[in-house]
Amino acid sequence: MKHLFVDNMPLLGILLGILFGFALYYAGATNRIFIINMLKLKNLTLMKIILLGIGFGMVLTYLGMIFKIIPMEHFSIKVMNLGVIFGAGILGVGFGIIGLCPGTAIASFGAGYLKAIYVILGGLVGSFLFTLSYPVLKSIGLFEEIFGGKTSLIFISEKYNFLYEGTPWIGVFVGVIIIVISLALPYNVETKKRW
Amino acid sequence: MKPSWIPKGLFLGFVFFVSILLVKPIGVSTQYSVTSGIIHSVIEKDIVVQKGKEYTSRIEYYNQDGIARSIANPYNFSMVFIAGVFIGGTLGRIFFLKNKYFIKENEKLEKDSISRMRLFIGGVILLYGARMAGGCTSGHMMSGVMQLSLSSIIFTVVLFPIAIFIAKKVGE
Repeated sequence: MKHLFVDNMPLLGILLGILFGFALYYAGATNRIFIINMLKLKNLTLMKIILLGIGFGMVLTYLGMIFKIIPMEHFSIKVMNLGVIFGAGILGVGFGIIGLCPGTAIASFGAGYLKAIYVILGGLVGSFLFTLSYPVLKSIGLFEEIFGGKTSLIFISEKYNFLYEGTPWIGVFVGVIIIVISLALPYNVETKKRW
Repeated sequence: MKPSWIPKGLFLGFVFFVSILLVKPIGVSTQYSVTSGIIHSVIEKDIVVQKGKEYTSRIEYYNQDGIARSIANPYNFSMVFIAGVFIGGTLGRIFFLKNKYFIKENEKLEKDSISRMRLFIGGVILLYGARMAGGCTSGHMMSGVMQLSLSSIIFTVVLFPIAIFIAKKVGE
């Protein structure tokens, strides 16, 4: 059975994609009203879910590194450049306007919110406009590596720079802290009700 | 009854972990570049050329992140993953069809009056920014922060205040 997955990446891709799409629906992240209410700070439930997801994922990932069950080449640290900062800002504007992201738009469309197709079509146009403008953006230095390029906070492997060598246990610890923050964050700013 | 948020968060985190464990971190936005590139390659046939085992393109950006290769061979893990995300959304809807909480949330979504134009323009901005940043909320905010990637942490710290500011300003 092992080879069915290892040798057939597309099959694994569709299974993981299904899990991810299902997780997004279950979390409520396919509902743009729910997301907008988080961004307006009216209902922080989704923020708690996201933080818990990041924290729990971090704990599992770093435990996986400590016990060597995750192959090191599976880690992938993205490069740091000015594009990350400006791109995050531009993405934030789009996210604030519509309340959907590239991934949640697709899951949302699958879940029957048919208007999400306009986000997906817009996304194809947006990514093509980026492709066309890439040479110009590159020429003004937007993609020059800064802060060491592919850098992580603690040492992962020889492939990446790091700020502090530390041990992977720090990753587990940071994950636990994020989980605690997710538990402590109020459901909404007014009532401070936590559970 | 409103389902607890805790299993939702744990499930979400678990899926991201499983993906790193088995293949690589989850990311979505690159596939928008690949798909628009595929459409581009239908219109202009010689966009991607094969040299031995390598695929190159005269469009500079397609030579990044293996995009040229994916344009030539779209049947790969990341593209099929996107089809899975769509199916997963559908299955989620079906699985929770009789759940009162999800019924109520979906009713709110059905009353949604946002214009198609705004969704389209939002989508353009979203992906332009995501490609510039090298990832989106999945690849940077979730997968990247989980690995303690510096660029992803900076990405998230910039993204949220701006999204919150815009959501409050734009209003609905």
